[in-house]
Amino acid sequence: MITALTLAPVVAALLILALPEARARAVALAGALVSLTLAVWMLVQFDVDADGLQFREKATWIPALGIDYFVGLDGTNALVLLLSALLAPLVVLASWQHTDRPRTYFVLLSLLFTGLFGTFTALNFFHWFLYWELALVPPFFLIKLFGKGEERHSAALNFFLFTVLGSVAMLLGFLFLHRETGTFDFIELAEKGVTVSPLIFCAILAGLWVKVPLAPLHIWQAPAYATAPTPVAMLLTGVMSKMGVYGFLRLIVPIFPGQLRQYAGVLMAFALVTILWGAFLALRQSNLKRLLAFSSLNHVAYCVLGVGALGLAADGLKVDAHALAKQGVILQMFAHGLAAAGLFYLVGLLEDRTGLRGRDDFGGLSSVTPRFAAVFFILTFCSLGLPFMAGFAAEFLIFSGTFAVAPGVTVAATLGLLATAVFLLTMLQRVFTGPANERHKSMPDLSWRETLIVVPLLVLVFWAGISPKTWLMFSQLIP
Amino acid sequence: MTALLTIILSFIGALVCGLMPSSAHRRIRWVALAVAAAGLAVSMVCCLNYSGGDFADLVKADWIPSLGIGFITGYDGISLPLLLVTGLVAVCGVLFSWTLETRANQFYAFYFALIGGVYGVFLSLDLFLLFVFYEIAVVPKYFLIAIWGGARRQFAAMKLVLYSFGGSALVLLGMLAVFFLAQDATSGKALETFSLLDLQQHGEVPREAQQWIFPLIFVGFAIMAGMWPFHTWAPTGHVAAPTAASMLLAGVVMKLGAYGCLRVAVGLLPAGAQAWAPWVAVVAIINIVYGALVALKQDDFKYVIGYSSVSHMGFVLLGIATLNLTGMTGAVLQMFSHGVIGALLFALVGTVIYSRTKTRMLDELHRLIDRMPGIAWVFIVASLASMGLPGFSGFISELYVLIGTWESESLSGWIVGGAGLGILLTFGYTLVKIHEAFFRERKTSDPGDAEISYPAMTLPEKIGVAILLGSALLIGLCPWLLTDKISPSLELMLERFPPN
Repeated sequence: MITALTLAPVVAALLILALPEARARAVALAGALVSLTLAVWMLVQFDVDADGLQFREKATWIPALGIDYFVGLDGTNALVLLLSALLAPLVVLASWQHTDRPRTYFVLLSLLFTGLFGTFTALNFFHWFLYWELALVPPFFLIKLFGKGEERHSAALNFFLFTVLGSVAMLLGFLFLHRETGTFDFIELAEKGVTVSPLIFCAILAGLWVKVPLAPLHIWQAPAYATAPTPVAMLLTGVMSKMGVYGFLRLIVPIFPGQLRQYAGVLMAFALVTILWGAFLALRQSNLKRLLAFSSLNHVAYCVLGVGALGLAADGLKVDAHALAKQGVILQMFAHGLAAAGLFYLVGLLEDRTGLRGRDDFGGLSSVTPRFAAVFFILTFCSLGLPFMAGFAAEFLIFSGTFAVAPGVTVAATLGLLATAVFLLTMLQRVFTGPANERHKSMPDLSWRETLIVVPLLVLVFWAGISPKTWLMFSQLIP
Repeated sequence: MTALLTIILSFIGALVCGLMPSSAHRRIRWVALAVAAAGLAVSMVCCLNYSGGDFADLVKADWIPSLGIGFITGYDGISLPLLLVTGLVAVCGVLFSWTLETRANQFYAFYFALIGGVYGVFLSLDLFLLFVFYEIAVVPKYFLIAIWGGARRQFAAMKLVLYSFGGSALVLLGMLAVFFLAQDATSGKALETFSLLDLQQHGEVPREAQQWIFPLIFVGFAIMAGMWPFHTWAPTGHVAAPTAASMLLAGVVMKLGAYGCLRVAVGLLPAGAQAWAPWVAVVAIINIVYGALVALKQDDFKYVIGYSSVSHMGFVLLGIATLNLTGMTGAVLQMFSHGVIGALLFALVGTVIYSRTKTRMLDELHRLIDRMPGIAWVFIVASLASMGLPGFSGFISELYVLIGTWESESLSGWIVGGAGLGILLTFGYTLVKIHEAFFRERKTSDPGDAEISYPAMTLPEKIGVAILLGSALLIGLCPWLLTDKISPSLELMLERFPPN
C-alpha cells in the first residue's frame, strides 16, 4: 500500500516521458491523485487505538549490510504523509498553466513527490536516505531551470550545497551507528539505545538542522523560497521544511534520548534564536515572498522548540507535558504546511497577475478582489494563531508542553508570537486595505481552478482548528 | 573453457577486423559489434553459472614448466564483475564509435587486441601469464591514442606508455621476488612457481620480505589505477584518446591496475598489506580529495571527467586498504560502478556532445540545456549517478567502502572524515560543472549560432546510454546481484590472512 503510494508518481513520471508533452500535466495530476487517494484511504483505515506501526511492509534487501525494505505508518508520520499527499495534486493544479518545457517540469515535480512520500514512510536508513536525496535533486533543477531572476542559479546551488553538507554529515553519522549496532533500521536502533560520541550526534543533527532550517544554517532558505517557481515554493515551505522536523521526531527523539536530554537546552536556545531572528528578519522585509520565507523560518522553529521540550525532564507534573509537546509538534507541522503553502500560492498569484512582489506595491486589494482577500486573510490568521484555526491549536499545545518544563524559554518565545502578529498584520494592511491602487483596479479575482486549490486548505485549517481531536487521535499513542 | 572464449573471440575479432578492407567500414562495425556482444554474452553466462567463492572454469596447460610457468586461467567472484564491465564497455564503445570511418579496420584491430589483453589479465591465474596480458594491453593503447587521438596525442600516448612500463617494471621486480622467496606454508620448501593458485593456496612469502615486496607490486599496479602522485597519465591519456579508447581507459584499463593491487599485492602478500594499509588509505584519501579539487578547476570538459576518474578510483584504493570483507566488496563494486559510469561520461562528452558542439571548452558552451535538452538531461543524470546519488551503483559501492572503513581496525576515524570531505567536493564540482556546461551563457564572443538546436541522439547512442545507465541503476538497486559473487571469493582471500 505505502509502496504503491510512494511509487505512483514515479510511474507517472515514466508515462510523462513516453506520452506527448501536452499530456504531461494530466498524467502528473493523475499520479498525485492516486497517491492522495491511497493516503486518505489509509488514514481512514488507520486504527487509532492500536499501538505501533500499521500498514507495515518489510522485505530483505541487502542482507550483507543488514538493509531491509521497511515502511510503515504510525502517529508520527500519518499527518505529514497526508499533508504531502494533499499538497501534491494541489501543486500540480497550481502549475496547470505552466508552459515552459512542461515535460521536464512535471517529471521533476513527480520525482519530488516520490522523494517526499518515501522520506515520510521509510523506516530503514538506506532507502530513507535514497528518498531524502531524491527530494533534494528535483527542487535544485526546478529552481535552476524554472525559477525567477538570475539569482536563481546561486539560490539553487546554495540550497543544494547546504543540504548536501548536512546529508553527508548525517550519512557518516549513520555509518558509525551501523558499525556499532549492525543495523540501519530506525525501530531497531531505537530499541537498542545506542550511546555515541557528541561528534556523531552532531553529525546526524546537522542534516536535520539544515533542512528545518535553524539558525545559523538558514541562509539558503529565503533566496531559495523567493526564486523558486510558486508551486515549488509551496512544497519547499509546506512539506520540505517538515522533513527536518519529522527527522527530529523519527530519529533524534527515539534513537538518542540520552543525548537529547543532554543537549535539549542548547537545542531550545537555537530554536528560540531562530524564532526571534526569523521574526526580526520578517519585520524588516518588504518583499512578500521573502517575508513569508522568514515567517516560515519562525513558525517551523516552534516545532523544534517542542522537540527540545521532549528532552527535558517532566516529573512531578499533573499533565503529560511530553505528550502535549509532541502532539503539538505533529499538529504544527500539519497546520503550518497548509497555511504556508496556501500563502505562498496566493502571493505567487499576485506576482503572476501584476509582476510585483513588494509589500508596498499594492493597496486596497480587498475591494478589488474580495474572494482573494478573504482567503488571504484566513490563511494569515491561521499563521498568526487565531483560535478556531489549525495554527492556534498546534501552537497552544506546543506552548503548554514547553511551558511545563521550560517556562523561561517559552515566555521568551512568545515575543516571537508578538512580532509575528506585527509583520503579518502589516502585510495585510498594506496589501489589502486603504485606497485601491489604480494600477491594479482591473486585477481578476480567484478563478474556479484557483478556488479549487485553496478550498481544501481552508477546510482543513478550520477542521483542525475547531476539532483538533480528529487529527490528534492519530498521535495519541506515540510513546 | 567458457571464459577463455572471451580472450579467443577478442583476438580473432582483432584479426578479422584488421584483415577487412578499410573501405568496408559499415561491415566492420557490425562485425565489431558482434564480437563485442559475444564477449559480453560469454561474461554473462559465466556470471550466471557461478556460485561459491572458489575459482571456476579452470584451464591448465604447461607452458614453461622449468620456470614454474603455466597457462592457467579461470575466474572467481572478484574477476566476474570486471569481466562483465569489460563486456559492457566493449559493446558500448563500438556503439559510440558507430560513425567512425578513418581506418576503421585498424582501429577495431587495436581495439579488440586491447580488450583481449584486458580479458586475459582478469582471467589469468598465473603471475607470468597475467603479466604478459598486462603488457599486451599496453601496445594497442599507444596506437589507439597516437593515431586516432585528438590534440597532443603523441605526447599523451607516449606518457601513457612510459607510465605503464614504469609500473610494469616495479611489478616485474616484485613478481620475481615472490617467485624466489615463496615457500610452502607447511613444509617450508621453496615453491618456485608463478601459479597464483599454488601461491595462494599453499604458498607463503616470508613476513619480512612481504614488507618490501608489497609496495613494489602495489605501487606498480596502482600507477595504472591512477594513484596519486602517479595519476597524471590518466587525464592526459583520457583526453587525447578517441572516445572508444577513453571509455576503455577509464572503464577498464584503470581497473586492471586496481585488480592487480587486489589480486596480486593483497592476495599474495597479506602481511605486507596489513603493514602498509594505513598508508594506502592516506594516499586514497588524497586521490579522492585532490582529484575532486583539480576537477573543479578544469575548463576542458574531458579533463573534468578525467580527474573525476582519479577521484573515484581513490574509493577503490580506500576499499582495498580496509582489508575487511565489506570494504573490499565495496572496492570491487566501485570498480564495476566506475567502469560503467566513467565510460558513459566519456562517451557523452567525447562523442555525443563533442560531435555536435565541436568544442569541449566549458566557456564556449552556450545554454546547452535549451539547445540539446535530451542529451543534457542524460548527462546530468549520469553525472548525478557518478556523484553518488542513492539509487545508482556509485552510492552503494561508496557506502560499502565507507562502512568497511569504519569497521576497519587499522584505519582511524579521520580517514572516514576525509572521505566525507571528498564526497562533498564531488557534489560541489559536479554541480558547478553541470552549471558551466549546460546552463551558463557563453562568455566568449558569439559566433552567431546561439539559437541553433542540436540534433537529438542517434539510435546507437541511445542504446549505449541505456545499457550503461541501466546497469548502474540495476546494481544500485540490486547490489546483491554482484555482491553475492564478490563476497564469498573475498572471504576465501581473507581467510588466508595471518592474524594481526
